[in-house]
Amino acid sequence: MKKTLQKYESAIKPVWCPGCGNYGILKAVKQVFMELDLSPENIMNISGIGCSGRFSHYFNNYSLHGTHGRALPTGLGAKSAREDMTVVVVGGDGDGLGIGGGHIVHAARKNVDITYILVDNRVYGLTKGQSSPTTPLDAHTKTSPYGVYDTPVNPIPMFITYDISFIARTSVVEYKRMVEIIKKAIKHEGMSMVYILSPCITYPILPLKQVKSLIEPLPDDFPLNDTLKAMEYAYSQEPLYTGIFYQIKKTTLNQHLKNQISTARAREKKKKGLTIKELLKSYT
Amino acid sequence: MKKKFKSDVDFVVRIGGEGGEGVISCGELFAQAVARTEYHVFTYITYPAEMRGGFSMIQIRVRDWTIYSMGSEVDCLVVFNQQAWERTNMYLKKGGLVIYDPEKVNIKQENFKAKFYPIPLTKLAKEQTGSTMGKNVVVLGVLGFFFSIKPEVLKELISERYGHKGQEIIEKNFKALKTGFKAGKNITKSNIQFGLEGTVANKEKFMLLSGNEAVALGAVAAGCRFVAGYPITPATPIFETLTKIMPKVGGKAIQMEDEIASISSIIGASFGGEKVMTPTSGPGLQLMGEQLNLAAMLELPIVIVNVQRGGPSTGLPTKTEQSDLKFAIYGTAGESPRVILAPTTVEDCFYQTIRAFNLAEEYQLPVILLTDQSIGYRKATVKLPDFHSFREKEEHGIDEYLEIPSAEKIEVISRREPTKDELKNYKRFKITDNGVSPIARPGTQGGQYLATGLEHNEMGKADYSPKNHAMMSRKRFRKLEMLSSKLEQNPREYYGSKESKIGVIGWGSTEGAIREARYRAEEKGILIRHLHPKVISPLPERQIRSFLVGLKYVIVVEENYTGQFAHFIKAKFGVRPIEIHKCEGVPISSQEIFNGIKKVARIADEKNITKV
Repeated sequence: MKKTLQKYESAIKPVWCPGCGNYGILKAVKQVFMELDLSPENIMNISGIGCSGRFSHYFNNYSLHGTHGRALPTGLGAKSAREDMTVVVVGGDGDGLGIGGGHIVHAARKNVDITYILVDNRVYGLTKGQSSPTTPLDAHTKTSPYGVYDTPVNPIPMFITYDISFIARTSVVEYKRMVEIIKKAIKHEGMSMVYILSPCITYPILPLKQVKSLIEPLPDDFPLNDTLKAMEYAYSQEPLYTGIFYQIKKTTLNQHLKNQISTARAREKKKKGLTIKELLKSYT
Repeated sequence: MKKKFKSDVDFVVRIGGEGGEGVISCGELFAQAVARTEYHVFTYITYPAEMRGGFSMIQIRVRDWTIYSMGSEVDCLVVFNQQAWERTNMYLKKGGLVIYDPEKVNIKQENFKAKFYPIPLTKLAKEQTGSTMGKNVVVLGVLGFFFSIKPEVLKELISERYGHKGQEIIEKNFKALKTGFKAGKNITKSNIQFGLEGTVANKEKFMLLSGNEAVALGAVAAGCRFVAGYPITPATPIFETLTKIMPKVGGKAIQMEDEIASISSIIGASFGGEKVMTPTSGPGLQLMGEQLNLAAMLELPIVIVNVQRGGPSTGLPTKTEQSDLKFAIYGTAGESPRVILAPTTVEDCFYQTIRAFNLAEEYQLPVILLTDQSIGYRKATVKLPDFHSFREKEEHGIDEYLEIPSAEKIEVISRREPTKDELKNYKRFKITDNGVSPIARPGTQGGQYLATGLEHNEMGKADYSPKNHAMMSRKRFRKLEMLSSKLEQNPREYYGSKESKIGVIGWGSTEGAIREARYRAEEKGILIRHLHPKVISPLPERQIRSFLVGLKYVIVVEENYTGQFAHFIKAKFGVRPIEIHKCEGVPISSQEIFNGIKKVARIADEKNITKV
């Protein structure tokens, strides 16, 4: 099995700290690619800045490592241009909920068919330990020497309000479930959000032990289309439920764009698109 | 009295009123009707920043050959209210004619040498249509009679414009139009201006486009099929046009949540292999700064259109200015290559947009097209290009000469992809003689690569070593050096006499006004050489040096406060130009430039006298 995983591996070796949860996520994503039998050349990975921004370096796919906070709109553009590609966007809590937080609601409104893997370690790790949007109250970090006073973001209820068509939480401490959830997310038609708790070894704001004790799978019969129920479980902090909170069917961005084309053609009473000549002549 | 086609036709009609009164649509319909004759049309529009209320005006210049500027004096003035009269009467030509609503406008006729035609526009509109809203169409009827436009031509245009509002509205407008024709006839008994009957043949030859529309159409012609944007005055019409026409040609135009998301998504789409563009204005370009650098670092082709407006900050959103030049050229963290193009006319907006795509794809970098509000909102007749010579160039060597797209010949360049051989041990950022290395399109087996904003090596792997950073910086900038040397092969971009001692340099939308000023100067015996580069950065240096040879005085004309292009010219060529700036939110006129030239000519003469 290891040999086949290598198909998705680039020649670049990860630079994360030994024991970082990102190694598990990287392996899980590759395993999903393999289990779904995707060809490496038909996958696009887009990532932002931060420890998790480095994900794109380690895949043998078409990978783009862009700027801080802009992975989501970049991935959105990539997918809307290339419907035939599988697009996976990876970013951290700073990248996705801080600097780039404003983009999530709009990507959700467009329901672009991409998978967003949001890795939360509750700290800015790459810049060496400053507080992030999810750092808990009173935690001491390099930029909160007297304790954090900003209320931390509670992402899952936020995602439910955004009506993202697939919302899941998982953690690196439940590898098998994580693989299953990522697989379902990639197979989901529309925007899928996989929020992964991944403790930072070097700045342990959220220690591994705590994650293990906090998480609990959602009930087996948890309904996938009940917003209020999802909200109720999403608000729970102890335990932190993992699993799929919400999954609905909505028209995807690429489908909308195709519909626009057919509506425009119908209005022009044409089966094919306008030629340049016809277009320019319509302005005479 | 009706005059037939004259070879020296050149007149200006201006309609002024309150925003929301239909002033602009009245003027545009008139311009469209004229565009269907053998004459050329050029319009200039001022919008109030408010949705309703505030002064709004449209100026239409009609001429028997190419029009270079909006014109200085008004032959026929239509005013809807007192404010419009107060703000425009100083531009009225001696002997010109004024159409006004006596209920709304009070004019001391004895102070003006003009013919006055009081027509109760509001009253007539209310009588005929039950609403005052139709008065702009009454005016259209009056103008139609004055200029012998066939009612059928105007009816057809009204149907095209208001057809979607239903038959009832159309009928009301027809009634208002008829009333206008009648009112015109009653007051003058005969047509008093030129015959502007439309002919079908001309409809086949010319489009009537705004600069913004020309950019949108140019993008489609260049093969762009992916656009992302965010509304911003005065660039919004480009995006609106594209949202309408992209689906018609099988393309995509998506509205994003802000400018940062817009440029991000076109970078994603360009990575996916599409030709992409985002239209914006100055404040939007600022927001895009970081991503602009990313595109340069990833060596991905993108086109950004900046329709400049008055700044700084929110500034004068509906007014014109040429003040984003330095930001466009230098505004980056770190140094990255980019190309700046500045179209000079509405027609040029079409061709320079195609050129922008060609350069972006050829050299794999961001190209910024700098237009401005005045060129974006003006409308002009644009000749349809020769479709027989329109072709997509499949195989082209990077060292081949790239022709400037024109009505005679349009070549569209496509992206360089790796060959089968190049895909073996593929290096996306391979060091080559010209700096350009093929881009693999996602989906291509063996072409997978990493594009990172970190400094990287030929393979795409992050590499911060001193040697590598020096080498890759050289690679990225070599593309600009290549382009700069290619530009030297282009036909000269300057006009006028070799003997001249005075040179005028301008860029962008001032071309027409400078050209007209040159013609006027030449009539007075002042020789002028006029340089108007369309590629602002990198500049073709040899060409410019040859322009400067023999000149004693160099004038740089710009619509900004600090003289941004003048700084650039000073720094590159060591000349000390005389700068003519206009920073009032309105375009500089040929008269103002001519006045400047006259002053310089006087100094030049004095020196000659002292020498003698």
